[in-house]
Amino acid sequence: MGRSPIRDAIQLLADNHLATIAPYRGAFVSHLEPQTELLLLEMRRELDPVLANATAENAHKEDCRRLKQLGRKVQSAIDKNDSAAIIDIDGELKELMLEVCGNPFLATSLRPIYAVCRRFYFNAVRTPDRSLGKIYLEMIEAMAAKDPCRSEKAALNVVEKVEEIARNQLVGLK
Amino acid sequence: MTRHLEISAPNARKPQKLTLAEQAYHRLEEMIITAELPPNTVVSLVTLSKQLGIGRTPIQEAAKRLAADFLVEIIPRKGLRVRDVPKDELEALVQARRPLERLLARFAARNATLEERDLLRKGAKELLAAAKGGDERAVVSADGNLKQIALAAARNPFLTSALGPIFTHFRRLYFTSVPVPDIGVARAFQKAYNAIADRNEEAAVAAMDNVMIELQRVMGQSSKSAE
Repeated sequence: MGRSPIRDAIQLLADNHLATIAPYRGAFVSHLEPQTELLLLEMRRELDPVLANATAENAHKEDCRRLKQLGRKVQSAIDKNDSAAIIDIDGELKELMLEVCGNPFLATSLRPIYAVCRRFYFNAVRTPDRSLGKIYLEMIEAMAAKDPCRSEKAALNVVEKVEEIARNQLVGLK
Repeated sequence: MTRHLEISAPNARKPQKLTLAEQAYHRLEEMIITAELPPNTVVSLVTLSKQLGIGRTPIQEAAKRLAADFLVEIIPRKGLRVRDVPKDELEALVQARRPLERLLARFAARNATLEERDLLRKGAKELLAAAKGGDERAVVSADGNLKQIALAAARNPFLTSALGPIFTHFRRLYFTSVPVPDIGVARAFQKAYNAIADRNEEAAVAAMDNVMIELQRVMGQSSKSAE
């Protein structure tokens, strides 16, 4: 591969905080402290409810249909204890929300945060968490029902649950 | 020049000199905010390179970043075009900026050094003085300066890259639609930056919410008077 595509790729990784560029020297793979996850979740407490609200507000018929479909996939992945499927569905849902919300500024703010959160979460959690799955489904249903208020509350519940899981893991690490 | 990849080196945080591409980015950004390069302007990279005295490659990198921040469109073989301001941009900006400003206030209040706290107090005083004096250029500069200090104080690279383009777009919209400095906005900012300097997280968050209300008030007025 030539240098230009590599440079572009590294720039993209850097934009998502997965690499750090050292001018005139090269790039480092970013080292992430475990506390970074809690920091990101503190940010998501403010941002996820806004995203869920905007998604519910702006979802068209076709988006609602896709949301419902994703909800069914989540349910079946939980029933089958299929973590690999959850990783894909979660990525798909987040991309759908970032697109449907209709706010490019919110989307570019959240994309790198989600990239790193996913790296943390799915590195550590090997089986689907049932109680998280339940409130996660409630969030999807609220958005599919085009209920901004309910979606906002559900999104906050999801972040709080993920935070609780992350905290327990940190305690486990020590 | 050799470039190499180093895997898993520690993530050192030390102040670095701006690269040529970063310098080019900041110059072009400023030209867009102040409408020195108005919306829909098409300009070639060669022209920009000559005008700024910076080589083609860094200009090209800066153009790519500006495109990623939705400020310009790259036109192959022609250069770049300054993007127009979409009608619903203010609404989208406010929606994204409000939660991020709350986070900025919180993290800056938590992590600001003694020196940064002094700089914030001093800068906020300058901002208010510039607004009272009706000096728009001084307001633009003091406001940009304060934002840089607050972002540095927050010590959160995710917040910095999220707010960077939002500030740029908002500043372009604000300074082209609000011609006379607003003292109410400057006062609200001073209150927020002082609360950060006091390291009072909750007061800083509340004061920053109020800044957003003030900004919307002023910009709502300007869009009404334009109608």
